[in-house]
Amino acid sequence: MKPYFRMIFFVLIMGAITSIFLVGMDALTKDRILANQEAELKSTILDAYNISYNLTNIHTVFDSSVTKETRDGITFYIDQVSGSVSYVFEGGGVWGPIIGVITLQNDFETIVKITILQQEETPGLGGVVAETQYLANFIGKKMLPSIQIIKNATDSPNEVNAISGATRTSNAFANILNTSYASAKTAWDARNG
Amino acid sequence: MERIIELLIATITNHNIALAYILGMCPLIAISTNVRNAKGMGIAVIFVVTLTAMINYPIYMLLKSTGTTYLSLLVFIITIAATVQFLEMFLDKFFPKLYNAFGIFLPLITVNCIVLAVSLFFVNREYTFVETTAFSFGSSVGWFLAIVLVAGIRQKMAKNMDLPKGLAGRGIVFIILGILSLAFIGFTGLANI
Amino acid sequence: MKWIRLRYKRWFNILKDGLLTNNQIVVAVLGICSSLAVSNRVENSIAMGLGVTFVVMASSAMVSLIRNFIPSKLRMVTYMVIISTFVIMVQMFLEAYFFTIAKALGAYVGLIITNCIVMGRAEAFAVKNPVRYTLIDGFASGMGYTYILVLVAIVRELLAFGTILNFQVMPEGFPKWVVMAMAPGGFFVLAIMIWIIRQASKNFEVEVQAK
Repeated sequence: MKPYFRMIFFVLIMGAITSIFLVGMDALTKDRILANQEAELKSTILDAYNISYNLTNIHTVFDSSVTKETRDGITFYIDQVSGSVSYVFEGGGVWGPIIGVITLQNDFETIVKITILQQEETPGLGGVVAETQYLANFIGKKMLPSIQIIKNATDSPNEVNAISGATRTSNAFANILNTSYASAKTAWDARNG
Repeated sequence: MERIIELLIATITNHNIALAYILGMCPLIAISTNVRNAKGMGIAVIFVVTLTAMINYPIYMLLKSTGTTYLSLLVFIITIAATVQFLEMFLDKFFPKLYNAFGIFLPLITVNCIVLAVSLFFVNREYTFVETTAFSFGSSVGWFLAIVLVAGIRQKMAKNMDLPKGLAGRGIVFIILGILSLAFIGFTGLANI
Repeated sequence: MKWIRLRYKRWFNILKDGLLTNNQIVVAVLGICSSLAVSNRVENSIAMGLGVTFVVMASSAMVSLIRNFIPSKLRMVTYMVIISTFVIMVQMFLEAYFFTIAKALGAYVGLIITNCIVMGRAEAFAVKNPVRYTLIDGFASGMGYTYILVLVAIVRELLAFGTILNFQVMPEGFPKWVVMAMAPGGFFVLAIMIWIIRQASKNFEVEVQAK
């Protein structure tokens, strides 16, 4: 029995020490990480609205040019000048969550810009979903009735070319965009109607 | 029920964890020298993967409710190691013949990436408990299929073929795996996970 | 004089081992999962290679420090726990202070934790050797991994995308061989690389005929 006790004891000690390290690191870095993520979100939205800023005045510029409204759990960032709306979408990709910002014109249908904030897809294949070049394909397309990411997409406003060699990520991405749009549209219509 | 069947089909074919996601390669390459070993390893993996996924699920729910999900990786690893250890002791005591049949495979499974990967996948895709069980069972059966296929081919090749010396042993496994993964690409779009 | 020469020989041998004779990918055939995933682009291979080298050196050093206290049956778990804790801490640190780097490496973190090379070196070397040799071994194994990865990536990126490090090398009309960027391509190029290196170094493996 004694060797088993020693083993359990060792695991407990090791688990405790490593947990302490992780909890400590989390406490130390949590605020900075949140601040970094917030700054990134703001800079992404300001970029979509073509508003210039720099690292020092980003928060004041953001607060004065963008209106923030939360409805049914979804936060909308509205450009005070053009009326364009942005919201954050999130969903499961193939390897991990895909999180990004989508900006729509004030008709809440035409895409102005999509930017990816976080993804863990295969580099070079699914990872292309985060590249500006690929996301440029979405500009001007429409979300209604749904966006389709398929092979050999036509010029139809609802179709975008899939990433070659990355069918799963392309499907997952389309799914994420459409699902998040459905909830966002419901909330947006409730706000206006 | 349909969902369970869909998950089972998907994890064995177009979302095969070895041939589509390329996980669990190290033990696959090492143990596929003959079909008997491959079967033994495969069955042991099915047991462990399904069992650990089912155990990790309520643990993850607990972590989620206390907001400490950054500890999930650490906790998963410890539960996996503990489960394998207990399984070993349990088999040794109550089913000694089975224990001898498994031999050295059980401790090796702790380091098989797919055990951890399956747990990380159910977290990422937000499965229910039933979905997690079906997914983990199906994925491990998919891995079993892959290792037995490779072993069967290797065994036949070792007897009948005159391989270039540089490819003997582990070299040829890569070519076999390449052809197999190419073939499994043909399953794309079959079922959703 | 003799003593100094002996010392010199040891670290040199460890270096040679990790880079050539016991190269983790080609000879020991470890770390394959991650190699296949990232070796489709040269820049990813470099980033991953450096990441793995760093993690192997640091985690092996930690294992080496506590090697006399680990109960024999718990070796594997201990390595996994140390490695994952370390990698998560590094990731948290990067996300807080070097946000852009963290973003770029985000996808690799999971791959580094489950990389068999990190565990392989801990088990094969770190747990039996003092820290200073462990560091050299970690460096050699990591670098051995890196250069093989980069070589494979050069072939794959060239054939699949026509670029190297995002510089267009192939002419515009080059038909992109996309399957080279996917798993099967990785397997084939790696197989050929193993073939070439083993043939050149006459380091053959005897196919064991199991009953």
